[in-house]
Amino acid sequence: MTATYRLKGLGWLAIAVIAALGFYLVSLQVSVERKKLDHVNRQIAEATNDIRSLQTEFSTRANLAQLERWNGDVLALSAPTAAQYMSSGQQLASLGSEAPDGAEVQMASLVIPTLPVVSSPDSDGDAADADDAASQSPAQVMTAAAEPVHAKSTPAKVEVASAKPAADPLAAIVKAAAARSAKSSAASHAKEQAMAMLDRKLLSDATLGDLMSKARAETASLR
Amino acid sequence: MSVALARPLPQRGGNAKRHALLATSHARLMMLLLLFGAGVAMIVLRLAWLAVFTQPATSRDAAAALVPLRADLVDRNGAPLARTIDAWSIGVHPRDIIGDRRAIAQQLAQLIPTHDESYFYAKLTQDVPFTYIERRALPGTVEQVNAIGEPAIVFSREPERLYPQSKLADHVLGFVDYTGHGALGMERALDTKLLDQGSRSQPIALSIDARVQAAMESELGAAMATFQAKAAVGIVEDVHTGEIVAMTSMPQFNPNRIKDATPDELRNNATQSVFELGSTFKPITMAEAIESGTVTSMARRFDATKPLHVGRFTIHDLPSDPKRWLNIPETLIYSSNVATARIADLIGEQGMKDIFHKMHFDTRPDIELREKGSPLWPKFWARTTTMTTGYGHGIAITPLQLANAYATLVNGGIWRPTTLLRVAPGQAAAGERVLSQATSDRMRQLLRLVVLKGTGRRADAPGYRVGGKTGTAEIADAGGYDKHRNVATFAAVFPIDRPRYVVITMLDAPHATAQTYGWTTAAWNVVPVANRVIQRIGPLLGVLPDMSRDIDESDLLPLLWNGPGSDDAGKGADQ
Repeated sequence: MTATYRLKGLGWLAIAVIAALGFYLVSLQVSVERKKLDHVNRQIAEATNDIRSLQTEFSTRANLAQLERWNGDVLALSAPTAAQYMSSGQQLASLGSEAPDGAEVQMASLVIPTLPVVSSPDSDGDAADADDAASQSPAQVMTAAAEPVHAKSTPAKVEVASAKPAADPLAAIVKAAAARSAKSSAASHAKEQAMAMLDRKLLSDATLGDLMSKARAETASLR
Repeated sequence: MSVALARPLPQRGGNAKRHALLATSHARLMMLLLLFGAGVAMIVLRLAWLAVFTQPATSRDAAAALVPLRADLVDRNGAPLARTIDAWSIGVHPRDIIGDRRAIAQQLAQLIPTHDESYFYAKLTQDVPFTYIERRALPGTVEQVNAIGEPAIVFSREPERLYPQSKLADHVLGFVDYTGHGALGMERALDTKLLDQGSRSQPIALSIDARVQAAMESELGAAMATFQAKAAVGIVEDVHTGEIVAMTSMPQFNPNRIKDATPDELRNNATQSVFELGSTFKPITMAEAIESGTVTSMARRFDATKPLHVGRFTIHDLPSDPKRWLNIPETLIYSSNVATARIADLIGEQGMKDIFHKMHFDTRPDIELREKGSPLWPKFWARTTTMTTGYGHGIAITPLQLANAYATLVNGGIWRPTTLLRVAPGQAAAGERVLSQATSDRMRQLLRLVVLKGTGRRADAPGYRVGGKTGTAEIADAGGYDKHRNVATFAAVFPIDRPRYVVITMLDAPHATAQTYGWTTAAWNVVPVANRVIQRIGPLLGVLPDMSRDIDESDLLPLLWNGPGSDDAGKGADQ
């Protein structure tokens, strides 16, 4: 009886000791983590200070008077003149109107003289839409197709038309016409689209999922 | 102690005695036990206290290390203009020197070439406990001086105010004296705010744009050198908020080496010096004439055929000016003193006083800086005073006030105080209405006409739609005006069809050069500066040149009489 009583006491003591030790270990763990955090914080503060002093040094060495001196000695750059500014895309396009080899560059708007501006909700302008539009207005396609030489020799003008976001049916028609008269431009269009979708392929849902699961596995292994 | 207690006592016999002794030793042991217990309890309590109530010191220190002793000053885009850094300083305890003083001085002179050997030898032999050899030393120099191996030479890091852009915006920033308080410029004006414990971690943004300031300083500095001017002032002000985007006063000082600065350099000519600004006042007179209804038609003509005699005074125009009856646009284009004096006379004393009061020409400029000069307001208003103030003589104001007056003329007629602190969008001061919108629109047309047809032609930066007015005032000396020294000013506004910025350029006592064909008037020296400045700063400030836009002048152009020989009448002929 007394033995069990004593053992019981001992058991309680052991439990108390284990519990206290456990608590102590937890608090120890916490303090270690806190210390690490402090260390990191101190490192951050040091890095911030370093960044600040380096920034100061950089801005002192590269002060505007110094840049001006270098510009005067070596670069001799001057402020852009009014003629060097473009106020609109139209102005930009008109810059290239003089072709280098003397050939006359014609705009796509020249090929299709007039077209009522129709606002279409779908701005994608893929091949099917283009075909639809083409069948709806055969006259314009005829006009466009009547001059296949232009479409073939100057694919650039097709680009000009397709670059216009506002006139969708127009762009589509020109694309359709170009597809019929010159296969090469259609191929380039497909290539363009492939380029445009490149980021989708690179960062598809599957790839992102892979990345996520890998990240999860890594954090689990670190614990 | 325990040894003393446990010492075997000599047996003296007697049981009772032995008992008593035992009891005493027990009592002593008990007391000792209690003492130990109390000691341990105290330590435990103290530990518990520390564990509970003390917070880790490290994290607080780390955060505190990031807060500078004095807040940074940055420009409107966040580029640092003034910072507090930890600089190395090299000091010496001259009495404790072990090595040969002469040899050390020689080595120091080699490492720090700003002073010679005798200077360092004097430092090393001074009878003081401590003196500085070099403050704000480069880390490389510190390393080399340390390599000398003299234990009496000590190094420490001290907070120092550094101006990374050196001379840029010197008068705006000012400097900090050795006590750590601002002694000039914004450092002085914002001293308490910069030192405030709670807010000094946040940099204070000034309204200055460092790039614009640099462009202004380089162009104005070049012009000042070319024309050997005594002083120069350049100001760029946002017309809608009153923010000073650039303000320079020359000659300049370097706030990093303040002990080399001369009183001339420390003087802020933009806010401290007052000048009679001459013809640049004419648009202000015109604005009052239009606003008050004195002149209702732009076509109304005034006699400028001959000099005007009032009492003892005679008001002249330049010999090259057209001697005929001039209407309002022509008066400004040819900058006729006689016609302007007649208009001022019509407005009358009260009217002229009114507009000057409304433009705050009677008080110091409204700006945060403490270095401000009082305008010279005429003590006695005679009829001639009214006339001469109409074309900017007899009243002297600071260039900053002129900039603000032009901002008021073109921004729709609202006067706002100027500021050197960045104003958040939409937070501009309400201001006071001085002119009506219609008058302001008319002033835009007239100022543009001066640049298109008159004395400001060299300021017509293509595409920037510059409007403005030149002014060349003779410097008042003892006993009259000096015919050979003048103050050339150009007040420009761009783009005039939708005004954004006022640009003031001023040269004090410029000399004639071969390029100016002997002229020292504003049209030949400061106007081309304004042109170049506007071309450089326009794109930086978001004003893109556009050749297809301009203000509508169709109602004023027919009023200009283009007779034979009148084409070059405006060339250089401005006062």
